[in-house]
Amino acid sequence: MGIKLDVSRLDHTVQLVNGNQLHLLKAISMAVEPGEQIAIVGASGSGKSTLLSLLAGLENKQHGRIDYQHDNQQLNEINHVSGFVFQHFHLLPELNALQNVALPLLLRGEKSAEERALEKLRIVKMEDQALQPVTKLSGGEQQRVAIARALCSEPKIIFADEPTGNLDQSTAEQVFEHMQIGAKQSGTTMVVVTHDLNLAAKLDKIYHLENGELRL
Amino acid sequence: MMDDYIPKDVHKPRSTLSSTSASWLLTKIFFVQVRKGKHLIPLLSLALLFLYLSLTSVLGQGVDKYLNHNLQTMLGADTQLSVSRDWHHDEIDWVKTNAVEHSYIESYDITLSGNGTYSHTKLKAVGQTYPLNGHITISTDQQLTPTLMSTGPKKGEVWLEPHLARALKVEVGDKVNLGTTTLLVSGLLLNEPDRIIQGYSSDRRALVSEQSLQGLNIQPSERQVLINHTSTLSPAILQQLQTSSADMRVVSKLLNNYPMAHAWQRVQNFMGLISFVIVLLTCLCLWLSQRSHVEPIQSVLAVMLANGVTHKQIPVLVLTLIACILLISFLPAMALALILAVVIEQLVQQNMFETFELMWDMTGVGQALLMSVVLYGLLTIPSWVKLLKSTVRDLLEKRESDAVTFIVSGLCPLLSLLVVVLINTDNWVLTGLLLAGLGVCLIMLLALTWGLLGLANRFFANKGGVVAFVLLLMKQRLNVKMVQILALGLSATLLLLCLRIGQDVNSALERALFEDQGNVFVTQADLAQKQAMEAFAVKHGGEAKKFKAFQSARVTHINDVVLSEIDAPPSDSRTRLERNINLHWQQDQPDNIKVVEGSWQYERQDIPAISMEQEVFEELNLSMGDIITMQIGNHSQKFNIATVHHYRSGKDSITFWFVVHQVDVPVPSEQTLYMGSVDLSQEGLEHLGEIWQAHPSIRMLRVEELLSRVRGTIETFMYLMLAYGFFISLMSNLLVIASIQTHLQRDKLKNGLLLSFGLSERQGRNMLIVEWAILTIVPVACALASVYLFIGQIYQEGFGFTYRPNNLMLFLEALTIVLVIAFGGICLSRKQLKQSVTNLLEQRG
Repeated sequence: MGIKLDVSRLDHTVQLVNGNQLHLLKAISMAVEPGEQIAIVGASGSGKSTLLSLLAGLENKQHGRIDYQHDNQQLNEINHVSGFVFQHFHLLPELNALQNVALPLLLRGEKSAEERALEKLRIVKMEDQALQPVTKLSGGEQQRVAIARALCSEPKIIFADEPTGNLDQSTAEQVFEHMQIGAKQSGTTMVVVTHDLNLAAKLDKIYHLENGELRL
Repeated sequence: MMDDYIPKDVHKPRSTLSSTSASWLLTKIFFVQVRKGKHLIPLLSLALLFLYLSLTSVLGQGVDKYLNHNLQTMLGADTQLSVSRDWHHDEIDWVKTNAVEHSYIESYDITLSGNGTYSHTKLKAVGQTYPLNGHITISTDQQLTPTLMSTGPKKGEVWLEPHLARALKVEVGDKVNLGTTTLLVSGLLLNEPDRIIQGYSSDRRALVSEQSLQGLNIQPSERQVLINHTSTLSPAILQQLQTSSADMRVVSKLLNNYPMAHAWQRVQNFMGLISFVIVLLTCLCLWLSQRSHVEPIQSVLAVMLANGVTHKQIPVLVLTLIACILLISFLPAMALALILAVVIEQLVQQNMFETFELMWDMTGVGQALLMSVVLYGLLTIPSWVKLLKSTVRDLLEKRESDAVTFIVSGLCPLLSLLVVVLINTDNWVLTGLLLAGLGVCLIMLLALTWGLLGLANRFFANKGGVVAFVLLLMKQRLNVKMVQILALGLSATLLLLCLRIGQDVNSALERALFEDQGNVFVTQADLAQKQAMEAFAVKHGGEAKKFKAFQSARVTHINDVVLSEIDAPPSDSRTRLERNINLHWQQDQPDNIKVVEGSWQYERQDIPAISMEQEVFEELNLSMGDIITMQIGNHSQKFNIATVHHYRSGKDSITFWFVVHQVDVPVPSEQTLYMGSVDLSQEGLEHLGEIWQAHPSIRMLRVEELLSRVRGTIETFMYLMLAYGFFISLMSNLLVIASIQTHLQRDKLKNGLLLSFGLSERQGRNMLIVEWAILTIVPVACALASVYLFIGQIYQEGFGFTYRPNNLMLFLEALTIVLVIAFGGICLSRKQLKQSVTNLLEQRG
């Protein structure tokens, strides 16, 4: 079962170079049910990625509350039960595909890390390229490796920041499908930031972020 | 960032974008990057290298020339030849051929008389050309006020050492007799430029013109010639002369056997080594920071390529940028070098040598510039080659290099090393040993890192946890870490070597300061005179140094055979033993002698044990256990030769031919005399005449001029070493920063990802400790092993002294290097782990 997410009056301001302040997120509230897959859409610079980073605990929040619940238990941190898919993949170039996917499991001291990583590569149809250096892979292939890595530790929630932003339409759809299937299979909650409305439409809910305000 | 700087013609059609505009834009963006601290390490490395090279060019030649001149004046000439027989014709011809100017000297062992007394005297007869270099110091008054003379005494005159004048009861203006000749005492001899070679003994000495001795039927005991030679004279020619005249003593600046030559040679070798090391450290810094230096430029060029710049224009842009990089690192360094050189010149003139001046040799500065440019070029060529061969997409996506670039990036550091060796080496043996040490270190680093990580991974494979994770990650990312490990290992080797050698050369120099020797040397004083001298020193704010007791003795028999009848060839030692010698006694082995045969602990109850100077022992054909009989006053005393010794420099300079192994005076009923020195203030020196008047028979010698020159020179050596040490510490700090920065830069992505996977604070801390422990312990351990293997030979070949291992110190220095780097690395890495994941991932490039 996935994570339940409750966001209440989340506020975020950033300091601009000219000294002015930009009120990026204004008292945002939202709720995501366990296993639910939601999309946050909005124009470039609207604060989608910042909101996602705050939800994933990658950035420190300034004002407001974010509550995480798993099996009716309150969680203080979610890094150990979450997976993250970045727009720029962020794979370690010195490692091959399999080693990149196994990384979160190795950090947790999993003994069968590589077997489980191979399993996830199979889900994203990348098992044949498991031993390839990631620098030799195409953008779509790299993103599939990144998705396999996010799925590898069997997270209870996946955060994806423009996961198909660097891919062509056809590859984007394939990659998105892999991610969606992977999450559905394990009942993982999924929060996706995208500007691709077609992909967003494939998810359970779509939130629009505009002028710092979020609406369904 | 680029929008503010885009020139107007960027928006023109692609074909019209000029190289000038593109260069201007690239330069502007580069300066923005510099302001943001992106190229700090390479720019600082280059600036420091250039500062060092230009400063040593401007300053070094002046110092080198001055010190060389200063040292060579101690020799009194370029070369001194000495024989204890007549000159051979071919030797006289050799002097004529090879000397620009020369001066013959003859030394006689004679007896002078005056005012009803007489004294055995070492008389030095010199010609009109004496001295060749420097001045003779004499005095014409009772206060011994020094006067510098550019020639020796005139015909019919003699200069006596003050104690000889006292012994003969004569003053300046009186006359003394040498056989049938009468000589006028026209001065009191204090010092001559070639005196240091002859050493300071208690012999009574006098200086006379050779013309004064004409008609006297006396034979010199030693002949010398001082030579200032032609520029074509080579060490090989001198060595050839030495070989053909084996009994000749050749002391020459060309043979580096003049006084303090070893000290100067060591300092020069040390400076050469340090220069080499500084250049190598700069290369390592540039090598380490190369990627983080060139990547931001590559990104800009990629954007420019995508916006109208053609591939053909790239070389022009790159060359413009390199010129810009060199200018902003060299110009401030050049200005600083010039200011520093002038300040140092002023300081040296005010505090040390008034006549010191800089030699403005701009060729040296030009060579320094050229060398820096070549090194920078060679070390960054791989990145530029990669840039020229890559497509825009390759550059933007920071794709890995192809095989050609990989080979070039391996060859270029080797080429730069070759350039450094060819330009900087003047001592091939030392450089060879250093490179061998670095080579061994490199092999050990590769083997140990690979082996250790392999074994550790196997060991921890099924254990899990942070240690296993770090080891696995390090092994998988070995190509990233290897550059850092190699750079740290090589620089730790260089640093450890420099630290050890620097400390030991410095200690050797400190010993050469003769701090336990005063500026007035007392060669003979009785107890009352010694006490008066000590009191006089204290009264005038000076200090009495250690005095050594001796009794005057004469060797009468060896193995019960009268000295004149023993079976040994004629020699200086044998002749000298016909007169009284100074017999010293000491229970423990004196620290300024080295026992070469026998043991100081030897005890034989019936006959006291004695130690004998090695050269005398050998010239008299003696054996261990031989019995030597001496007449001390009215007593005859036998001694058993238990040890043979020779003087060991670096400690007390007073040494004796004969030392009895005992605590008590050999013959208590006979007079005990003392030899030692006092360090007098200027006021004390001015009143020294009082002591002479009160104690006319005291034998002493003023050496303040010589001693202050030796000390001044040695202190200059030490300042030089300190300055070089300062550069080394700057470069090594920069290298440590470069190493940590490279590590942090390359680990941003990894750390960002690990944080996003939920890395806890404790896990992060443990991970850093394990990682930095491996990153520092492995290189420093290899450096330690490499230094341990090669330091002995480097000491022997490069510095002419035996390495006395100080393993504890070596280990402590290595440990300090480990701790400093590891602590710095852990602190900065922890700071990185506290940043937000987004920041880390965004800044990674």
